[in-house]
Amino acid sequence: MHSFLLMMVIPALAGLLGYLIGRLRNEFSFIGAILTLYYAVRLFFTSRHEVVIYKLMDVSGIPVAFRLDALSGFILLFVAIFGVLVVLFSFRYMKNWKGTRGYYLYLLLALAGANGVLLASNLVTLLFFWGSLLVIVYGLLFVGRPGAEKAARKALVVVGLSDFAMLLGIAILVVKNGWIDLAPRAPMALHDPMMILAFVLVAVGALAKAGSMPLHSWIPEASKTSPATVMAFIPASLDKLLGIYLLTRLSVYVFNIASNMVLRNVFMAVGAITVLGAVMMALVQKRVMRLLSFHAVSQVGYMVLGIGTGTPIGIAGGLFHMLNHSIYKTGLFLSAGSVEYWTKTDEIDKLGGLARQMPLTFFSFLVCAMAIAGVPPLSGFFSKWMVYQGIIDVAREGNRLFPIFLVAAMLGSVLTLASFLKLLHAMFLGGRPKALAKVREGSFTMWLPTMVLALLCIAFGIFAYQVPLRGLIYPSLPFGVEPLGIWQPVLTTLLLLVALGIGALIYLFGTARRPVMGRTFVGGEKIADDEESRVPGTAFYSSVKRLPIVDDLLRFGEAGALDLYNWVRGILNGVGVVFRQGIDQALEFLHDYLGKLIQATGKGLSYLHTGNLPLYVAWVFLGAIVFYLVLLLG
Amino acid sequence: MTGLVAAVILVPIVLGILLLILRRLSPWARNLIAVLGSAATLGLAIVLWVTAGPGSHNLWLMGVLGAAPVPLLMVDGIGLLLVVLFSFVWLLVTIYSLSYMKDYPFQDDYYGFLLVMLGSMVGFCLSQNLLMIYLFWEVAGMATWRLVAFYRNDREIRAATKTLFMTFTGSVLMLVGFAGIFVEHQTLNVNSLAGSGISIWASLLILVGMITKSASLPFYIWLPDAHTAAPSPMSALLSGIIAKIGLIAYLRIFIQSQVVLPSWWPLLVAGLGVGGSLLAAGCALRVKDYKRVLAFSTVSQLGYIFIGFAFAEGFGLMAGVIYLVAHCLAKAGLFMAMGIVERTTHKRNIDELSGLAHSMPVTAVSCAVLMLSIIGLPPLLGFFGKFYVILAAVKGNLVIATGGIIAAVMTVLYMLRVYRMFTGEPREGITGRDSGVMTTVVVVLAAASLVLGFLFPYLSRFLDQGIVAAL
Repeated sequence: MHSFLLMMVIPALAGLLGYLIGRLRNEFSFIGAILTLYYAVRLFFTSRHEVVIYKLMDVSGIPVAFRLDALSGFILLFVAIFGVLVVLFSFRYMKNWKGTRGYYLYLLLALAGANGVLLASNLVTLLFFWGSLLVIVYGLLFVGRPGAEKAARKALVVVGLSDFAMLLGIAILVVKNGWIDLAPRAPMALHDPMMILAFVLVAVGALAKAGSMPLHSWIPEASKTSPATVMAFIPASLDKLLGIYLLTRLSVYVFNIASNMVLRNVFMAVGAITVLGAVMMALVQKRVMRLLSFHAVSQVGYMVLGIGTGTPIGIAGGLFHMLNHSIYKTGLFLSAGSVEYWTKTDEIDKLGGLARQMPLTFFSFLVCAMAIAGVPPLSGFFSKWMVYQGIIDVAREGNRLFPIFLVAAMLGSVLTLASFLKLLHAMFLGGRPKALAKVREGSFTMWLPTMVLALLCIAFGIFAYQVPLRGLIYPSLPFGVEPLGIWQPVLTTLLLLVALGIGALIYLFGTARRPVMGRTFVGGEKIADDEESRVPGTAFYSSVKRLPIVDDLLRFGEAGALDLYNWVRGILNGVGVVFRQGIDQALEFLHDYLGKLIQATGKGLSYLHTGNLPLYVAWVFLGAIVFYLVLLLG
Repeated sequence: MTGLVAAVILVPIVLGILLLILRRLSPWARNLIAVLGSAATLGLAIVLWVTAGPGSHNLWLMGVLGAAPVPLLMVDGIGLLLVVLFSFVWLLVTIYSLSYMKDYPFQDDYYGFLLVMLGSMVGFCLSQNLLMIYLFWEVAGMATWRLVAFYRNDREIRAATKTLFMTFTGSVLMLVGFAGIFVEHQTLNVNSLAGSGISIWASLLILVGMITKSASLPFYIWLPDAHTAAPSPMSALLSGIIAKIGLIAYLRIFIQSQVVLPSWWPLLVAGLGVGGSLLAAGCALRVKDYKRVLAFSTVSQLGYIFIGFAFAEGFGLMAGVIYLVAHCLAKAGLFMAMGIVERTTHKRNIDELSGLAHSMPVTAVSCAVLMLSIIGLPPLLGFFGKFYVILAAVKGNLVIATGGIIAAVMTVLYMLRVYRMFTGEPREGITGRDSGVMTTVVVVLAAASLVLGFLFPYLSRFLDQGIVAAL
């Protein structure tokens, strides 16, 4: 069997076997994920130097074909890596959850579906796997706490809506252009309104998968009920990789987004709004998972912003940010999952002071949090930097709106840092609630995956040029990317280390070790070291809630007024009322009325039948007269 | 071959009439005859398929009408496909009925009419003579009337009368149209019309008959009532098969015959289709009875098939046929699943049910699969139908395609409304139960929707050879 097909068959088969032989589901899942990784690595190395095309068959004129190139090659590799890590993490983590048989099945099917999406060589083949993935995710979201069906429902409606939009877009491309290849020889300029429509419709599908606003609402909803592993695998990594993969394909390979400035502005605006809107929502969250899930939305903004710039550096930055994001966000969700597993809660108020007890988890969470906040020299900083460069490059092309996007991107970065400071304080630093005294670092299946991801964040930051950019990102784009001006990650890291070293020397030999300690004046009150005087993390940034305008928006946001799902449901239900009460009932009435009319006519005619013979004779006589009159006069 | 064609039509009809006459049979013998009758039809249909060969387009001359022998029946790719599909679903419905109907009186009527209806459906699918089409159409219609009113309460009788009244009015108008064709062309043979035109009034009258039977705008209002009143297995047949009669007739008379239609014709049919599709989807979002929701859904999906058939050139014909097959399997399965829910919970209101997945997990999962097929998500068969319909619609008219997409989104919403009965927390005192035979039937249909989705390339190859190439 062709290794492309194996990439789909192996995980699917492993999942099915694990489902049928429930006792061995961990083993089957792990073997399936590892084998997938093995083939992914092989394909990755193949993809470095050649493009492989494999045509399976023609279905009434539409080819079912697969292709491997540099872009799909590296994403394939990372999907497989995340698959292995998440499966490994799940062994211990999922012990507390119900329905794990279905869980592993869906997880591996999702892996298979994602491989299908990445290997598809044309839009129709892609759509098949893309939609299948929605069905699988719908099933996967049912694994969870009571109330999980709400998230599943939202995901099906919102992502389903975008899938249908995509279907329409692809149909337009097939019919008007007869051209659905995902990597044609030359990308098409976006001037024809029909093609712009098709592009936007397919891009809606990509954005919904990535979780960009306003198509994001199922992700925070799912975070309430779904296991951390599901969050880490689907919205945090897989969906980002696939959504941004498709967006890159569309705007670089199939079409040339650089050819239409209006469209670029629209995309950048969507990106900027997503960055800011979601990060604001994140600031005021009270649960770890929900907070992280808003960041999973917010970060998509950077990727969309980067690709929307249409400049080589911006697109490369968006793509790099996608990769970085899926690494650190998976790390964050899994670390938070570790904490949740041992503390049995993810409420920020009930956590605190775990750094000592879970040092490895703390380390990986810290690194990933700093990476997402964009602290140099970690990976997140570098890709955001590239996105900023892209925005500045757009300005050179005469775009006047660029300051808005730049400010939004930078402000989003600051707020991200702020919200992660809150989270770090609330989970690992600060006062420790009594209930958590016995929490310990867990088994290696839980800390190893998070550690791997944290180390990747560091490596991709320090060696950004040498490893990810030169090895993964640049080869997968059809144009050359100018090297960035002054930013030298290795040098910067060295300088930072030197600075830290000097700081340490000053700390050791200077006066800082002997500070003057005094009592804090608290107005004569006594502060006891107990539960009530602990400072939890939820109090951070509550002032954000009191800002004018922002407070209203946040309140609406929390109430679901900005949720596309509610909008769609509301509007279509309204249409339903009009149709049902207006048209349907009217037709029903017409039908009944017609029936009554016929009955009434029959009844009226029945009065003529009295059974009286002379009357009938009279009728006949009258009829004859009329008949003859007509004959004579006609 | 001629004998085989006669057998596949006559065996169920004769057995059905036998059941209707011999009313005193023991339940055991009656059930045996019913199941064997539909199984024999399926067997004969498969034999016919194998001997005729898929993809063939053969004519069989049968019978003498007037002076010269005229072609009455035709065995071709699409006829074979539909006959095998319908008799397969019919067999499943009959098996399901053994368990579902066992406590009711008048079962001789039920199984008798079921078999007569099967025979006339098979005959209808193989007809290519206008008179034969009309004949089988009306026989099926009469049987429908009795089966919709099966429970014989006031409500059911009213619904059945409404059904008969509307569809009969439609078919009589259609008959006038047929007469028009005969007057113009001196033929009742659909295939000899190729390249010639039908006068506008005749084609419009025929179209009225078709939209009445296949429940599209504006003559659909009998269908929701009929589905709500009929026993669930009958609803399954009504939605899955009987309501397709008008569409199959459209396929035979307006597409396969290759008559010349006016240029505005596709837009008219597709417009009615998409209008009905949207209207019914909107109604499905409002009504509370889950069987009524599904009935409106049927109207909505039938509209979709009309869109496909309207833009028959290119993808449309195949789109419509695939959609028809997918919908037949999925909707029949859904109605039978709802029958299990109704039977075990004795509730019909979706607001009163929740959390049934805990007590009937197998039905819940099969239902999800069937609903996803109707929604049109891959890898289920329904996806391909929807995809090709949208392709055809985009080729025809972008506005209609957009309407179709909106209807698809509405489908997601109303299916989720129904699916709420399975999710969430179970209600006090309301539990469902997976019941052996009935659930198995539903599982078979769900599996068919899934497996055929994966086997779609083969199905499409068969359709390419058997239907599209034959034109």
